[in-house]
Amino acid sequence: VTATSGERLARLLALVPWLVRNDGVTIADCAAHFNVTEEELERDLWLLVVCGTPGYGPDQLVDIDFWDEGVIHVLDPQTLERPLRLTHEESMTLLLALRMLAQLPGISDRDAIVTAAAKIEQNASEVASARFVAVQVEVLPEVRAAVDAALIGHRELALRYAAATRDEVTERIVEPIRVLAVDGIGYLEAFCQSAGALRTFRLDRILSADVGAPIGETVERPSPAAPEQEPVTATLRLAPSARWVIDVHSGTEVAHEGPDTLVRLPLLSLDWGVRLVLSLGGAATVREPVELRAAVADAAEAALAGYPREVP
Amino acid sequence: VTVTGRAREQAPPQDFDIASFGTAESDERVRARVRVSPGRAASLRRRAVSDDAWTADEIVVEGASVEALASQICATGPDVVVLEPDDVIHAVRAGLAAVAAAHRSEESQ
Repeated sequence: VTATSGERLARLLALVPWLVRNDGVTIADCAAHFNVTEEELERDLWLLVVCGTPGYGPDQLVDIDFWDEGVIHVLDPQTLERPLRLTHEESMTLLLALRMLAQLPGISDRDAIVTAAAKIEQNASEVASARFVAVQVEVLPEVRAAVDAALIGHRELALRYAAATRDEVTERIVEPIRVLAVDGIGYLEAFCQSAGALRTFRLDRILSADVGAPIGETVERPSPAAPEQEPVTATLRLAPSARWVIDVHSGTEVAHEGPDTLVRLPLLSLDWGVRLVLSLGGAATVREPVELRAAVADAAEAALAGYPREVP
Repeated sequence: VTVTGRAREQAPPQDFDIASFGTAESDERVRARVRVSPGRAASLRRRAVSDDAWTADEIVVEGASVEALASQICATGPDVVVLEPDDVIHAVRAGLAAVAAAHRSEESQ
């Protein structure tokens, strides 16, 4: 077994406190406990006995007796007799991750997560802020329950989904594969039968979900639709008040024009691009493509036409 | 914000809970009544505070400010027309007019 030096260091640090509490354990049992060979364990022990605190004199080194009768005795653990504790940052990071995980649908062993989180919280109890660590994945309770049931029972899901690309509610049958969380947003990855391809759905955009037939038992499957269109890229001129668009929508700055920024932005669809530019109320101007520029102008004018002429 | 003392001199109020503070809805929400084309503007309908938002022709939407609400409404283009209140109507019209001007004029090419 080849392990990284990081894994070995973690094992070395865990080894001493464990040996202190299991005085007289055999090399074979200890190796089995740490899931290493006896040779690897002996290499670890040889390394430990030349480790110590600064000064590194004979009385400042870890002293372990392991050459008599195949049993191990720690004679001097130096400062390593207590197990390492998580730092405040490590505890908080783990807590956040576990609480996020516990909120996702399709988790089969939620109890284990809750128990683990409780242990960490208890451990970090002197830092009172542990109880302020709360995470909420935005998803309707009934959707969560349905996704849960479908994932665990390997069943199809009938989704009503508010698609971002067209600002419409679409209905589709999907075969759920897994749930993931990225940057605090939950997603369902599934095979979409209507598209004939893998799709990712934001959990907070799923309006309703109904559990259907077991996966694989559907006789009729619509032929795969045409693949999604090639991604369109647009060039926009952004005023300072619209600069946030670069970060939120993964744009690339190409140039600066006075206080404004010229950016290239991937578009989910032309329609999505139109809505983005409209929402920015003049703080963004489309340079390219021409179709987007024209579509924005048309949409803005059509929208204005819905209001009575303003009295000057 | 005014400095009144050193850090940690002030105890947080007894009933303060940072978890609910961060997610608390501001009291000052802005509402607007809008007309929506059938089957359109899903993004606005899912935020509606009125009943039957998925089928209704008129819905009530809410935002953190006039500007924020106007921005969301502008995004829906001709699918949505604001019926009231006046400040939201004005903000939406101003936003749309600015977009139209920026995309029809030659100088911004």
